[in-house]
Amino acid sequence: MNGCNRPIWGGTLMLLEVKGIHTMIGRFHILQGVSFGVPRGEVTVLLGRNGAGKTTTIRSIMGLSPVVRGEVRFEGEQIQSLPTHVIARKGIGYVPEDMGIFGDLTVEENLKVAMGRDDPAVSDRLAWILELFPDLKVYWRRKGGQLSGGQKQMLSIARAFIQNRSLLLIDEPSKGLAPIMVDKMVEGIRQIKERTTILLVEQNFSMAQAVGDRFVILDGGRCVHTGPMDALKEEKELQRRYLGIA
Amino acid sequence: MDIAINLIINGLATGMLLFLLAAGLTLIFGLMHVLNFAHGGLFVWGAYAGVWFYLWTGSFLAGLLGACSAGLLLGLIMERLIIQPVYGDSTRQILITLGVMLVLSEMVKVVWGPNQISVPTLNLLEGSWRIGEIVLIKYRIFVIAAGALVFALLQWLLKKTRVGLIIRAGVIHREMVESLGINVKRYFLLVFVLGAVLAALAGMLFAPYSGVIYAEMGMEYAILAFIVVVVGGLGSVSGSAMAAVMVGLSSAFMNYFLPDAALAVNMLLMAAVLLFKPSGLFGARG
Repeated sequence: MNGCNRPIWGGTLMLLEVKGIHTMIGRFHILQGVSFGVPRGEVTVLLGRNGAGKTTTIRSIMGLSPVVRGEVRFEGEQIQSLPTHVIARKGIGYVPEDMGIFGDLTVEENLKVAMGRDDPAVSDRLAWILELFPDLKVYWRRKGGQLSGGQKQMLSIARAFIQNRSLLLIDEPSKGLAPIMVDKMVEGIRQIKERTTILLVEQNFSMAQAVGDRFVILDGGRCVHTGPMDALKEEKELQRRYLGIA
Repeated sequence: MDIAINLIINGLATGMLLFLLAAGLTLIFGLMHVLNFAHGGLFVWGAYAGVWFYLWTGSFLAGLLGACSAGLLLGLIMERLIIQPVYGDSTRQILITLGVMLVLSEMVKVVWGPNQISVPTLNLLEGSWRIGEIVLIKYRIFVIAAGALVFALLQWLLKKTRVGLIIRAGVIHREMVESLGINVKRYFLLVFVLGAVLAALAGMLFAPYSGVIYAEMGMEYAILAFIVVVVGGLGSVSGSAMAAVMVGLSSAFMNYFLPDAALAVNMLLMAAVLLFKPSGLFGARG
């Protein structure tokens, strides 16, 4: 029993339910019936080797890669056929693998795109974010394209979280970062976790362990194992087979 | 020396007309990823509709408003009925917009006849100022000033308003803008109509500048506008302004010294940019 197909549907604690989704990219059948749930208030980490379908899964949740079959439910409502901007407005923030920085816009302008009209709650959240990532305040007028990789990642997370989001999808936040920046990112995600639910794609297993409450392992476009992160720490065979950890 | 200064003024005036045509084209491509080959048709319709109002009312301002209204109406119809169904399909976009270009050019002949129409300059802007040996033709100075004003207004729109901020962000990373909860397609219509109005305005300003309008001028100027867009960088309005001045000056000087090679030199410039800096000389960074 790998836990992927447990009857989680309709469960009161699940914020996001992914049920048997299939996604094609061109001619390629990337997701072949992925199912898992994301409990409210926790960090769920999507793990798996390159090409397992992790990025496609969160792009499918976000409506960026169309789901051809299956269901995605967010707070009980089906969202798999909604346009991306509507999905975002329902309360899902997205930090893509390439960070999606507007390179010719300043840090301030990058955040303003996401902030919308004047709203005291957004201003409060901005103040909190600038405390969490002080580099953004230092480089407030610098163009996004001129930031370091770590600063871009901070900006991307800040931008996704500046509106009130009940779920954040974050794709490989540690990718290409120096170890000191990874530590900052771990701390940042721990703080954000206090305020929202997170679905994280991560190849760096030590980061996944440091922030994750639950794990979902994908392989060949399917969910093959899921459970509490503490249990995976003991499962050396799973780590070796699906994550390539010797 | 006086010849060089006159050529520079001619080049700047041509450059400003090209900028008006290219500004919409570059934003439409940058945000919507649509190569609009029908843009020259909007230029022709702006010229004909504007001149018709101008000759009918005797008011140049009415002509400008008539041209802008034609651009607005055609832009709305084209985006909703013709462009929207082919978003994301570049082959169909090219074929359909080329087809619309031909239809718009031929429809001009149906409505206003196949012959070219002479266009007088309005009295206020007729003639020239003379400074020593230098002759400044009033209408050309007016075109340069009008182009500079539109450039300033566009810069204000893009740099100082929320709509402009979203357009600039969408040009760089459209998917990301959608992921932030913004309906980018609403901005597609706005940008397309803005581009259509600017093209029509360029057509009307061109009419007294050239003294004559004809159905084929749309294709001729659209080619130069495409060169401007590629050289300036797809999606960059400032880049288009600088490239338009370069192409305008090059056309003015080449037409004077080596007219047969004028278009070829600009084509070579575009080919060199495509080969060595495909993002354009002043392109927006992702």
